[in-house]
Amino acid sequence: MDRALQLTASGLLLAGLYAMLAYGLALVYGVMKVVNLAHGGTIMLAAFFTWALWDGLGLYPLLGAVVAAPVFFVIGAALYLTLVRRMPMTGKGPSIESLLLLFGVWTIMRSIAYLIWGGDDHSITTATSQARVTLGSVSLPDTRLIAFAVGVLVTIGLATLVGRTRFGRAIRAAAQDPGACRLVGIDIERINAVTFGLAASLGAIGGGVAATIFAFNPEFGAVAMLKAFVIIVLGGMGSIAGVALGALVLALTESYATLFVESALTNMVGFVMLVAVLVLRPEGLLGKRAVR
Amino acid sequence: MPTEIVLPAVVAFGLLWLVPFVVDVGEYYLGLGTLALIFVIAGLGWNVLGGLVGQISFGHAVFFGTGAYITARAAGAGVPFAAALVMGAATAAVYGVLWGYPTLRLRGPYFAIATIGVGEATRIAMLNLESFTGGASGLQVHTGQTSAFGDYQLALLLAILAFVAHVVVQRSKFGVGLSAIRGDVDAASDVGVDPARYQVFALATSAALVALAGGWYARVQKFIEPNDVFGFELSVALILIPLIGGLGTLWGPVLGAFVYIVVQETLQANLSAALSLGIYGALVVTIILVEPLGLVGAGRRVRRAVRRR
Repeated sequence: MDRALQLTASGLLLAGLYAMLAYGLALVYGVMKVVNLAHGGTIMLAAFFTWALWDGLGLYPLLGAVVAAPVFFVIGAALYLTLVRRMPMTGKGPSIESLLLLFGVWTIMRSIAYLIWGGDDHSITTATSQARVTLGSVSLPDTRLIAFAVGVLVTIGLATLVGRTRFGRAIRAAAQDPGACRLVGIDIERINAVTFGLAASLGAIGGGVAATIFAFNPEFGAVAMLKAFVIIVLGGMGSIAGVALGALVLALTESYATLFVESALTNMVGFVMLVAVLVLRPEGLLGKRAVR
Repeated sequence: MPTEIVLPAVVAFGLLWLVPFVVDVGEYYLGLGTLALIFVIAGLGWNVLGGLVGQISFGHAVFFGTGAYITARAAGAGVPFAAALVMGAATAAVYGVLWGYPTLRLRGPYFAIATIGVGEATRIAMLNLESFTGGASGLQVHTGQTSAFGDYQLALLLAILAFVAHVVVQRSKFGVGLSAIRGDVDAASDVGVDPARYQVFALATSAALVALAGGWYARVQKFIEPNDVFGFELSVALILIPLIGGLGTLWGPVLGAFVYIVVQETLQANLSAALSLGIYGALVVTIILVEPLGLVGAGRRVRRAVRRR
């Protein structure tokens, strides 16, 4: 019973972080129908960025993640304006080659990380990294509690931005019908650029926070992105509540899976789940039919 | 087969066959040539699904690895090598049908993402299946006596086989169906092309060809390990090759494989692995934005420009 409680609590906390890793992917897909294969690269570079600020300047890692957000906003928007905008399109949306374009960008990002930081594992350990909070039979690391808190804040912030602001309304309109947006004078190019930037900064906060918990190297993005994929597939590609639910399902499943399989295999649980969900419920757990 | 395919094919493969007789290329370059031919086979295999059907797979290393391990294990148990290769190809085809049947209902990015999942799940499983794969410490391949020259010539034979298979698939009624699915899956099924059956069969063909390449790779490398033959990097190489040469074209994977090996060798000799990674990334971005049909597309453009003169 204690074990189950502990696993539930740590799964729950992990869900906060996982959701942050997935929001950017869901946002870009929702608005542009583009699967951003470079998203994992953004997460990975942000982890290194946060590490570099901590290692070089002694900046508290959480602040590093906050600094990373605007920096990666600019990077994301620039990426859209220079490359993604020129992507080959078909009548139904971006062509399959566009997937390869962003895959190329991801490859370049990995190359940059290898050139600057090398291939070794990096991690952030501060004086409080080992601190834990104990509640009855459940003991939780501070870093994970903080990550969860940041995840909740980001979720509330994003939900407010998309649901309550003028810009959010424009984003939702662009997701529904870009053609009609143009007719009523919404600048789609600007919306897309800002969306790409916003997605990158969400990924950057996630990456920065993840760096305080996990060791990472230039290949870190692959695992992070696959988890993000599982989540948005579970959540039905493009709603905030869906992503949060998807993150919860994945994190809890991974957490409970440690009861049954070796820890080396827990990542596999996510991949198997990804394929199973894509095949059985491609519209997501909450979604409507015929999203394909 | 029409002459516009046969003639250049006879010239190209004839030259590849003749060169080591005429020039003493040495064991190193012979080995490199063999590796290029292995990637020709695998690239043609990937292209049957990725190019002809337009289903981009980020997980084709699962077939390369399956081919490599089944062939190596069977040959190690005393099965004649040719039979071991066939066993590898057949196993890969069956594995392809197993996960292809459910996943090929997905299109575009959904299928691509599913293949990343299949690829990584397979790699992790194989890494942990130590009794069969040797785990992270790999497997020594016992093939008996082989020579670099013989391995090259036989690899060429397999490459010609793969080339012919690609032509046959592409030009048959089956290939027309695949091309219809690539164009518009709903319209194709309206005119009586069963997308599920066609695509699964294409994946099985694709898997068998890639597994042949994997089996030959095991033979010439003499050592295989899951992170290499089942790795994501290899899946990516299998995309890069047809992409450089020209997605969906017959000559694309052939040209792409040689360019890939040459670039790989020059980059590795002169630059760090990190920098060559960046160059590949930049190459992919440039190809997609400038000439999505790669070298073949560029060649067609040049020919058109010359003719207009």
